[in-house]
Amino acid sequence: MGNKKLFLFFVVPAVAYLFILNLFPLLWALGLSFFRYNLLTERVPTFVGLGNYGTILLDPAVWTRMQITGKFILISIPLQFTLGILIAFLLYKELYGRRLLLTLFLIPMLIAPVASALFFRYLLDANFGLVNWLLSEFFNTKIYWLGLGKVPGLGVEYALLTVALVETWIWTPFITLLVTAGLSTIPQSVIEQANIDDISFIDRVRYIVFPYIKPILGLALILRVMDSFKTFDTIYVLTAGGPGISTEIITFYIYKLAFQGWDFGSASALSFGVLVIILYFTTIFLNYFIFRGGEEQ
Amino acid sequence: MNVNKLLWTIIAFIIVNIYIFPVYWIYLTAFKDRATLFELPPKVIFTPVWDNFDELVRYGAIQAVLNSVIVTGVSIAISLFLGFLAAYALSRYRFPGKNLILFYIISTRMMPPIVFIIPIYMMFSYLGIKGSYLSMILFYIGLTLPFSVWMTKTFVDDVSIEIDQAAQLDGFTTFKFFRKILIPMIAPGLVAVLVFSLLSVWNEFLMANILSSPQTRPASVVLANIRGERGFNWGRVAALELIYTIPVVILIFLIQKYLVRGLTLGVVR
Repeated sequence: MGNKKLFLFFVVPAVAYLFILNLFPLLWALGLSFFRYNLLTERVPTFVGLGNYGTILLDPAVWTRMQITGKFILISIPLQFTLGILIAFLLYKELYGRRLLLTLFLIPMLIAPVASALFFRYLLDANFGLVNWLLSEFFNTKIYWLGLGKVPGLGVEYALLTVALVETWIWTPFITLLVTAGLSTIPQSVIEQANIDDISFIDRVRYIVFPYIKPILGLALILRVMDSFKTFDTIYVLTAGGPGISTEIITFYIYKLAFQGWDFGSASALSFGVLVIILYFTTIFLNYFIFRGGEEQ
Repeated sequence: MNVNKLLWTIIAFIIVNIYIFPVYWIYLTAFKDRATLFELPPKVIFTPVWDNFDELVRYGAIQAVLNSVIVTGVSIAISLFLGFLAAYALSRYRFPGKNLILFYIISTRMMPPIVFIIPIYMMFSYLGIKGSYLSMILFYIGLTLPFSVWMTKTFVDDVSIEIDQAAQLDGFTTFKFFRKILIPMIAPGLVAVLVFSLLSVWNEFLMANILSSPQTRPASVVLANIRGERGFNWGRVAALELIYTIPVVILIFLIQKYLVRGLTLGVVR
């Protein structure tokens, strides 16, 4: 069994597979980003060097989508963190059947985003939805949740808010999960001492809990920002990017560029732009993970 | 009986259930007949009917669920097998480039899937397999393999190398050792790997939407495009939602014990 040739035989299939279906497509996309290649207008790609990148940087349409992405992130992430942390505190208490409750709570992040988006499409339906029925019954009003109306005080369209809320519903359990893991690292002796000293809730959070969960909150933040750029499924189901372009965050825009405009060159270049942004966060993540997080386990 | 603990349990129970109310609501809707469906105020107590499921059969959605089962089953089986072999070697041996391989495997977690849709679409078009089960299966093996290698490796790492050595002394061949000793030992871990890989394939939509044809369309694609010309048939939607998501809900309850470890893996570990 110590045969060194045997293990090579074990690693090779997996690594070869990833080369062919992961690394190779990645390089293909990179190559494509240097060509002008629109399936509707040209049969053969034309080499344009960094041309596509230049066009993208100067294209106001791209910057508008980046702004929409930014707004989406700024609304959904603080909500996820606030709710996620509060529920983690709740589930951290001594409870009967805590694991069962946590498992129930994790359902939203484990079922398909497509399915979750449809739950809300039903609940928020303008005419048959439960939410609007409640609103009209008790407040004599109705909200067009997927419409262009501006949310008072936020300055974004209701459609974008709705997408952000649905994403919040899906990802809050993820924050809770990570914070729960962080909370479990607080030594029992520290908690007992805090009980003896009768420290107030606010001070407890600030001086005891926060220092322990800070690293994992940083990690969660980076991961959530990275993943927010990838949001696609919920938008496809809820709004398809509309009304107008109000919910076209960058990934959805790339998709439309590629499979409605058939402009493979620009879409590849833009997807690499997004990759660079994500890589920026990844380096922060890896620095953190390897150079600081290493000693924590 | 601790009153404080009971009180907090009740509060937590209520909050968690309000949170996942949308799931209950759609499950309830799946059993409503057409008249009950549009009634306002909405009914919570009614005579359940199977109409929506019959309608779903007529709609052809059963084929979609079957497609999901085929694509998920085949890709997971292959990914788990390749993943296990690689994980064993990466756990037990040192060799040049090993860290590079591990780094590469974890870095695939960061890649935005949107980068892959164009090259994969073009590759599979050239090969003439776009629209087939094979195209989705090939992609999904690649999608789940990094996770499968990484997570299996952590479970193999937990098994002492002395066990390998003892088996070797007893004259076990490598594959007999896998079959009789190692795999039974890490079986619960492998089940967790299986479930997480399965979820990521079963739930995937972006690539399936592009790679599938009307005959091979999995449930996620049918569900996402279920809106008819005259809007939604909510009974039908709810019934398909139920069929599509309930296996997932059952599975996660079955692997409760490994849920947290599996989910925080690659994040905390």
